[in-house]
This record gives sequence, structure tokens and C-alpha cells, in this order.
Amino acid sequence: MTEIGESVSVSIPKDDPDKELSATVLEVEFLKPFKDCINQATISPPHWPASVDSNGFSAKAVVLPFNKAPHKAKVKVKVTSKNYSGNGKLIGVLKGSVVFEGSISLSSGEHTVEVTSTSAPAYLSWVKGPISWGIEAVDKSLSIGRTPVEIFFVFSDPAALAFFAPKGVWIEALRFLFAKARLESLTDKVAAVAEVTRACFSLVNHKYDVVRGGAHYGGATTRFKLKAYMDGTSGEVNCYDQAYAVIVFSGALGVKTDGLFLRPFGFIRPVNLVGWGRCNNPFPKDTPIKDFLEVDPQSVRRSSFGNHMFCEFTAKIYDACAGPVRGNVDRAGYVKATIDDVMPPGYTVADMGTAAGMVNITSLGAGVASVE
Amino acid sequence: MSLDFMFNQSLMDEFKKEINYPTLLAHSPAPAVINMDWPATLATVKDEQGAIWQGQFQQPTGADFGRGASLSAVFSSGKHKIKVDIVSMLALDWKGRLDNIVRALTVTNRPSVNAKLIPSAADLFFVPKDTPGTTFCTFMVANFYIDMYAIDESDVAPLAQAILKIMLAHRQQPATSEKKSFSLKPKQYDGKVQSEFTVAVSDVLPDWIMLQPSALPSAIEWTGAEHNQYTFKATASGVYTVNFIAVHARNLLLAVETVGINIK
Repeated sequence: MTEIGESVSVSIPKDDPDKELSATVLEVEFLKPFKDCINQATISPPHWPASVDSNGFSAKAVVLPFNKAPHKAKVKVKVTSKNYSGNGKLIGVLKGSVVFEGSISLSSGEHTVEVTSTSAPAYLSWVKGPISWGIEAVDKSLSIGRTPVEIFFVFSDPAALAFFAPKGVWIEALRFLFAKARLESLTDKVAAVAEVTRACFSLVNHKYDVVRGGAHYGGATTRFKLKAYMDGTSGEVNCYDQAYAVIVFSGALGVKTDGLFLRPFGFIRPVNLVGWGRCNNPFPKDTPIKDFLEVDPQSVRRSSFGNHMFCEFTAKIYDACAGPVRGNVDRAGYVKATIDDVMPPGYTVADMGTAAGMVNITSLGAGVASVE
Repeated sequence: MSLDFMFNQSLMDEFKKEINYPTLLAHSPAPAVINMDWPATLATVKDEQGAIWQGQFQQPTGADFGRGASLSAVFSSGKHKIKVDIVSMLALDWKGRLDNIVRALTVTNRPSVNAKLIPSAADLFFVPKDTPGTTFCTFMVANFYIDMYAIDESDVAPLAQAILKIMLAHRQQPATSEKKSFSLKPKQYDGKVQSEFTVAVSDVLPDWIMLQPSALPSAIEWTGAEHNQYTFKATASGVYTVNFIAVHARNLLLAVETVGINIK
């Protein structure tokens, strides 16, 4: 991490030799940000000064709602002036997309100025870089420094969800999500959950556990191993892990999704199984495994899901384990599209899951309660 | 969260029948603990076939269901990689330990648990039941269980036996008393429904890591955590307890302190 103290003081050449004006930005604090954390420690203001690494990742990153503009910030500025009175305009510009303005006293001294955004993303966005600050006085304009910041614009407060409540939304989760998913410019929650689902399904090194069908990131245990999931060292997942991932990453954007549990589930029609590809036999009894993921639907060597976990948002299904299913079907449509009615001998409709059999995981004591 | 975790209960019941749970329960091993520096002792392991395995360890975290702590590692030997999870259990009694491992094995979406017991010097040793080869195993010795699986479908048995041998060599009688590893204040909270209260953790001994609160009563919400100050909100009347758990970074032994909560 490199400490970047880019606050500089630049005086513009003056026409009147008896007048002087220079200034330095001392602090920046965004007002009413959502509670967030880095390395599981809650971030407290000011949001600059803060260390910023070579990727532009700030140790004091900020999370704001994109749909609640204008945004406000407090900027502490040290002004040195001679023969100036009254107020000038303090302007901050971040990559041209975020602009803050406020009124600043031109008298010498430290002034805390409340600035308001006149331009900000009205969609999901991750903006990082320096805010270039300047003062406009009647007879001159001057640049007074740059303050690197990192801002996420999301739907609503992620910390309103229990699993992010204690420490705030993980900035690492937002960075991971914005890097893996095509979220930029989305304004619709349905589209965002669909994209979260696609991204979770597409992660490199995350493969379904076709031997045990076990959870490897805390799926179904109420505690999601978010840090390990983003690291992806172990590489194996099951549907519980994937459902938890969709719930938690959607939650990072401020969207509450529900987990559903269905038992029995049954035999799956040929769908893409996370990390493997086309599959109607998720637990092959033969090796090499990759050669037996799709078998004759009536083969006695064919296996089924005893149970399955997936997500629901606004009455549509999202499944980052098999499919992926991205909100194009409701419960009944999901059953029809995913559960196979052609089965090996000995199985009946009683072995097939139904829409009526779906249960919210919270009612089973298996909702996501915390992340670590 | 509730301690009465009923998820997949029928699968658990079926698995208990398969492994003859009542008989297992009736044959408890002598009380014991394992005391060793896990990351140091397992940094390099030579298995029975002479292969050298190097372990890369992460930091300990809470174990599933709040039942202790877990230390994960990836062991590498040549092109082979095996994921190993070392779980230090709070429960020292036989039933508690047995239930922990049953619960861990039944978090699956298979129609039945792909695990069977085999005879072993371990207290319990499970290997695959329905799939060829030993691509995973789960075994318990004293207050630890080990879960390992092959990232590349290789055989985990040689490394498992080598780790088991090391564990058995470090098995000992449980200590009669332990030095207090951290303190809580307050130890008792009396309040009203919807009230918030803060518990401060202090005097954490060197090398001990506080685990985040888990397995909370459903009426107690964890709402804040800053600088070893944990804030909770009570949502229903009743008498509750919240366990705070610390784990030693090297030997993975656990320390527990409890806060009593009375909400009217």
C-alpha cells in the first residue's frame, strides 16, 4: 500500500500583486455512506486521507446508493488568502462522472465545506480515482489538490441484511463482484441478480462436488465462507454454497434474495453443472467422471439430487449450480425445465420435486446469518 | 440462527441407521485431546509410500455450526493436491463429537451420504461408499476431526494415514485446568426486548484468535463489531447464552467464555 497524499497547493498567477489565494484539501468525508468494512474492520471517516494501492483500491472505500442523489460530503480545506473576502465555489470532479460543488469562504483559515453532487452515476457503478479539487473565485480559478477515493454505487444498504449488519458490506466482496460480473450501468435489481447468478456460475476453479455433493464454503450452515469462496483455492462447491453466494453477493448490492430448498429433487434434465458442463448424472459411479456426467436417462447407473438449494427473487428462480437459471422461470417453470420425468426403473413421480415442495431455507434454520 | 439445526434431518437419520449410531454411541473411546503445533508439525509430511507433502495453511476460522474452529490447508506433492480441513471441536464428550462428524457428513445434496465406516486406529474413519477409490476421507481422533479430499481425484489414503499416525502420537489425557485465554465484560446482561447491548472482549492472550460469534439464539441478533466490542440486539424475551470462542493459532485448542442474557 502506498500512501498517496496528493493534496497540493497551486496558486494561479495573479493580476493584482496585493491579492493572494491558495488552498489545500485536508480531509474528505462522504455523508451518510452505507456501513462497510475492509479486512472485516468497519471503515470510519474521513474517507481521505487514506492509503491507496497501485490498483486504486482505497483503505477507506465508500458505498453509496445510486438512486438517492444528490450525495453530500464534507471537505476540510485550509485557505491562505490576502485581500479576498466572501465566498467562492469549491468543485470536485472524479473521472468526469461525479461532480461535487459547494460554497467555500475565501478568508484565511481551515474551513469545513459541505459539497453536494451535481453529477453522479444513477446506476450500479464502481468509481475509483482522484477527485480533482478546485476553487473558483470571482477573478481566478485554482486547482487545490487531488484526493484518491474509491466509491461503489449500489441499490440500497447492504448492512440492512443480517449477514452484513455487524461490520458492514465487505469492500472485498464488491471489488470481486464488480470485477467478475457485468454490473456497470445496471439499474434493475432483476438484471443484477441474474448477472450475479451468471458470475457465480462462471467462476474459474469452482466445480460441483460430484463425489460427495458436499458444501465447501459453509453452504446450509448459516455461515458463508465468503473470503475462501472468493479465493477459490479448494475449487469444489455444491448447490448450498452457490445459493449462499447468490444471496450474499446480491446482498452486497443491497438486494435481498431468498434461498429455497427442495427435497426430494429428483433426476435433472441435461443442464450445465457448475464447473463441469452438460450433465444429467451429478454423482457418477464410474470413472473418469467427466465421461459419465451425461448418461442414458433410464440407466441404472444414473444418479439424482436428493435435495437442491437455489434462490428466488420477485417470484423468479435463480440457480448458480445447474443451468444457470437466471430469473426466466417461476417455481413451476423451474420444476418443468429442470426435473426429468424420464427416470431409471423403480423411480416414480413421488421421487420428483414439485413447486409446492419448495421451502424457504430460513424456515429450516439454514438462512445465511453471517459471513466470514 | 438456532442450535436446533433441523436441516436435512431425514438424511441424517438415515445415515445414523447406516453407521449403526446407537452401537457407536455405546462404545466411547477414552477421553483424550491432541496437543501439537499443527502448522509446524504438518508443514512437511512423508506418507507411507515415501511421497513428501507440503502443507500450505490458512488462518483458523470458525467451524461449521459454531462447533469449534477449523484450519484449512492444501497439501501438495508433485502435481497432486489434497485439501485438508482440521476441525477442533468444542465438544469433548463422545456423543458431542460423534454428532459433530455425523452432522458434517450429512451436509450434502446426494440422496444418501457417500461415506462408510472402516476399521481404524482413529476413533472414527469414513471413506467413500458409492464411488471408486479413496478420493476423500473423514476421520476423528480425540477432539479433532480431519476432512480431506483430492483436488485432482488422486488417492488421499497415504497422506491420511500419515497424518493419523502423527495425531495418535500427540494424543494425551485432557488437561484438568486451563489458563483463562480472554475475558468478557459484562458476563450477564439483563434488559428489555429490542434493547441493544455491547460485550467487550479483553485480555486476549498472545497467539489466541477470537472467532466471530456464531450459533446465536434466534432472538439475539449480532449487530456490530468494532475493536473487540460486540453489539447485540435482543428481539424476544427469554433467557439465553452466547458463547464467545477463541482458538489458539498453533495448537488449535479452544477457549470458551459465556455471556448470560435475560430479556424481559
